[in-house]
Amino acid sequence: MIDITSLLKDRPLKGNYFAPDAYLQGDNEFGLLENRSGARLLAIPDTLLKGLFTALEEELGSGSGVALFSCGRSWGKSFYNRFADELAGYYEKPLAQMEMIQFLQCLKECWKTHGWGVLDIDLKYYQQGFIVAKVINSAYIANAPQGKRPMGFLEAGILSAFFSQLTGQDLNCVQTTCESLGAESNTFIIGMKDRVKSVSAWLEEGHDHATIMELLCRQQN
Amino acid sequence: MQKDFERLFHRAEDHYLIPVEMVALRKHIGLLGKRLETYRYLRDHENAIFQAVADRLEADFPDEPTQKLERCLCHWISTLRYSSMAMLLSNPEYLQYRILEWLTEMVEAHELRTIETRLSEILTEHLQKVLSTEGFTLLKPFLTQSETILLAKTAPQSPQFAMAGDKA
Repeated sequence: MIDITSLLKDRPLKGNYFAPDAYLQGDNEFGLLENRSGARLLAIPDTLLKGLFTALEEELGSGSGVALFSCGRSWGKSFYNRFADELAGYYEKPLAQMEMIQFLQCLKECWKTHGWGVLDIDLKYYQQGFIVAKVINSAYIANAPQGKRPMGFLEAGILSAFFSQLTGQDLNCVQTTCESLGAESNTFIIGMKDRVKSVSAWLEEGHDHATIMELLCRQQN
Repeated sequence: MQKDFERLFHRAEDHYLIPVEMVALRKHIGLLGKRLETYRYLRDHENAIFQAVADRLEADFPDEPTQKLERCLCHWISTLRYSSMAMLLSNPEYLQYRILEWLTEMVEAHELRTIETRLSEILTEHLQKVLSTEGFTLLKPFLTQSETILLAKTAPQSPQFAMAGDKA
C-alpha cells in the first residue's frame, strides 16, 4: 500500500528551475542581470552579434566557422559545469542520479530561457551512437550572414562540448540543416569524431539530413 | 504579483481610484481571502487528499508496479502545489512555466498518460467533495489547465534511456 507521508518524506518535488520569471533576476538600477543562483548573465544585442559575425567573416573568411566552433566549445565546457552544479543544487541530487529525460528537459528549458531558440533532442539514433539536436528560431543564426552556408558553428561547438562532458567521450557535432539557408530548423548531429567525419563530405555532395542519418547508420552497421 | 491587483494599481498612476475601481478592488480583496482559505486547506490536508487518491488509484490499477503509481502521484502532488499557488496569484502563466511545460514530456516519456488521466479524474472528484463550492470553483480552472497540457498531447515513441556515459 502506498503511504503518502513516507512518499513525501525527504523527497523534494521541484518544478522547472529555468522558469523565466524565477530564473531571470536583476537590478535595473545597477544594470545587473543574474540568474536565480546569482551567476551573472549577459544580454547581447542583435547588433553586437551581427557585428561579430561580420567582423569574423571579414577577418577570417571561411575560417570564421572554425573560430566560432572553438569559442562555442570552450563556452560549452563551462556552461556544462555551471548547468550541472546548479541542477544538482536545486534538485538536491547529483547529476548521475537524475533521470536522462529530466536532464534533457532541463537543458531544453535552459536553452529557451536564455533566448537561444527552442531546442529539441532526438534520441532515436542513440543506440547507433548519435544524438540529433534541433534548434528552431536560433538567435545566433538569425543574426549570421544569410544564404551562404550552415552558420550554427557556435551552437555546434556548445553542443559538442556539452555532450562530451556529459558522456565522458570526445564528441563532435556537425550541422546538417540551417535556418540561414531557408530550412525550418537547424539540425545538428552529435557523435564520436571518427563516426561523424564523413558528414561534411556528404553535405557537399548535396545529401539531405534524412539521407545522411541513413548513411551514418549504414556505415555503423 | 496578483494579476487582478496589478491592473488596478497600474491604472491608478495619476489619480485616486474611481468608485467602480474601488468596487473592483474590494471584490478582488474578498476573492483573495477565499483563495487564501482554499490554499490553506489544500496545504494542511495534502497528505489526506492524496492518501485517498492513492488508495483508489491502487484499486484501479492493481497490476501496475507501485513505483510507477508513486511517480504519477508525485507528479500530481507537485502539480496541485503549483496549481494552488497559481490560484492564489490568479496567474495561469505561473503554472504553465513553473511546472506544466517542464513535466509534460516526462509524463509522455514514461508512458504514464493512462494512469495520470485516471489520477486527475479521481483527484478532481475528491477535491470537489472536500472543498467548498466556491473553493473548488476558484481552483478548477487551474486543474483544467493542468489536465489539458499534461494529458492532451498524443503519445510519441518512448526511447529506453540509459544514463549517458555508457554510449553516445
